[in-house]
Amino acid sequence: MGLEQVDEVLHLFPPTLKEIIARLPLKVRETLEEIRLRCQKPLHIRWTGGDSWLTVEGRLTQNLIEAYRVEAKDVQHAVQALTQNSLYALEEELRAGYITIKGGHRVGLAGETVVEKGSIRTLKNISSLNIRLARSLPGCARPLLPYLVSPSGRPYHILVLSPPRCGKTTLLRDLIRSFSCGIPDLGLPGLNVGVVDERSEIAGCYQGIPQLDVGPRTDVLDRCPKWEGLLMLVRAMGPEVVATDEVGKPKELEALQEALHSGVILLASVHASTLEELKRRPGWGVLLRQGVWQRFILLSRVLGPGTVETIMDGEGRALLIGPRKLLS
Amino acid sequence: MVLLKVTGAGLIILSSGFLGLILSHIYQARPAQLKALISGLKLLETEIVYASTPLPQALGRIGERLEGIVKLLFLETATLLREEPGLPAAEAWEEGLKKLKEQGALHWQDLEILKALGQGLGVSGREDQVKNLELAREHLKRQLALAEEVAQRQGKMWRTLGFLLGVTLVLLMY
Repeated sequence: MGLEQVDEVLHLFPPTLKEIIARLPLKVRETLEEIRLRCQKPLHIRWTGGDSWLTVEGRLTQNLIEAYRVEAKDVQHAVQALTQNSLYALEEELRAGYITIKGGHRVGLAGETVVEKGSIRTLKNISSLNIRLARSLPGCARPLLPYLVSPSGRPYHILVLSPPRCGKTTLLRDLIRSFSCGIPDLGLPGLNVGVVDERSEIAGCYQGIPQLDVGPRTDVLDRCPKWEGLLMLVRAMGPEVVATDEVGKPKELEALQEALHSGVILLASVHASTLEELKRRPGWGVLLRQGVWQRFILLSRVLGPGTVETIMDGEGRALLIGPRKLLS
Repeated sequence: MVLLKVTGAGLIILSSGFLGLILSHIYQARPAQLKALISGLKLLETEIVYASTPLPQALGRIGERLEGIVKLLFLETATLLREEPGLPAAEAWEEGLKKLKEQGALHWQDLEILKALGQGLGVSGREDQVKNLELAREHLKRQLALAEEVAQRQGKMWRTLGFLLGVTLVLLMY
């Protein structure tokens, strides 16, 4: 598994780079996470097991001199393929700094910014690309589900705490998918789920259509500011569960509370390594003391991305003590 | 005998007259193609500004709506861009221009204007694209005015010259 995703981004590359990627060892290709192109700098990749430069033969190397230097025309080719030669059609995306392509993969961009009245208008002379492969792991959350659904077959309000790159979004996506599909074993019927996907990471929408499996009863607001989107979804789509990634701004916390009053179940994630750390953040102390959240899932990378450290209930009592690796 | 001569003379006059008409028609081709190009570029501007359609689809759509030889430029460029996603738009456009040069009645000045437009195609924001397209359209309009003048002058001349030539030939033969 995992090779289709690589094929989906391969069309962006010029022939030389295509060759190099195609020659990578199978193990690396299967777990590829990132391909970075930087003008006149060595070609860089990262996979689950590590990171490395690449030689022109597609060999991994730690030696900078051996590495293939990405040429300006390689980057240009990728940008042209990425934008279909139509920068004008992607002004919003350029301003945000990334483009989501078919398959839900995200390409981050850097280069020269055009600034107007103090804010970024667009990007030009793009010189760095970071192609991040979206990998969904349907079913990865299954071992956790018994802890997350009440005896009456209703999901709890869940908050996922995780440092960056620990599989937070992957877990969130599979929870969304599970609730959307329904879990007959736990007596949970399929629920309507509303997702506010500010950075197109959860559902990987391409032209508004989710590219990753988020379940059959899921509505996605793509590229939408969280605080606005949460309430808009509650008003417009009547979801039973609302889900969003990386909440943190005061406005977003307010919106979460308001959504709560309307009776929906919350599913969210936040950048944090421990509950104590989170309590000290502005705005969070109050929200945590109110006892809104009924389940906390803590992630880490101890056994690789997607390691569950603990699951706690609303009072902070551990229900599951890890580390335990999610299904892969 | 007289009947045969009269018929022959009539045929000569008619055919050279037709030749003149055909020649005058050739002069009409360039203004017609320039007009089609101008409206094609206007359509492209609309696609870019109001629909943000990506270039390959936009060019394809316009190609299907245009009449005559000019659609080759749009269709050829669109096909190339679709087949080779990393190809710069300027290169694809130039390939399309080659087709137009072979089969169309355009002058090199007209083609130069289009080539300059191609350099900037798709590589900048919306406002820039509009400016680029407007500039090209203005230049093409000037070319159109000149071409129409030529077509009118030459067209009129060939239309009458054809018949006169026929009459002269008949007179010479007698």
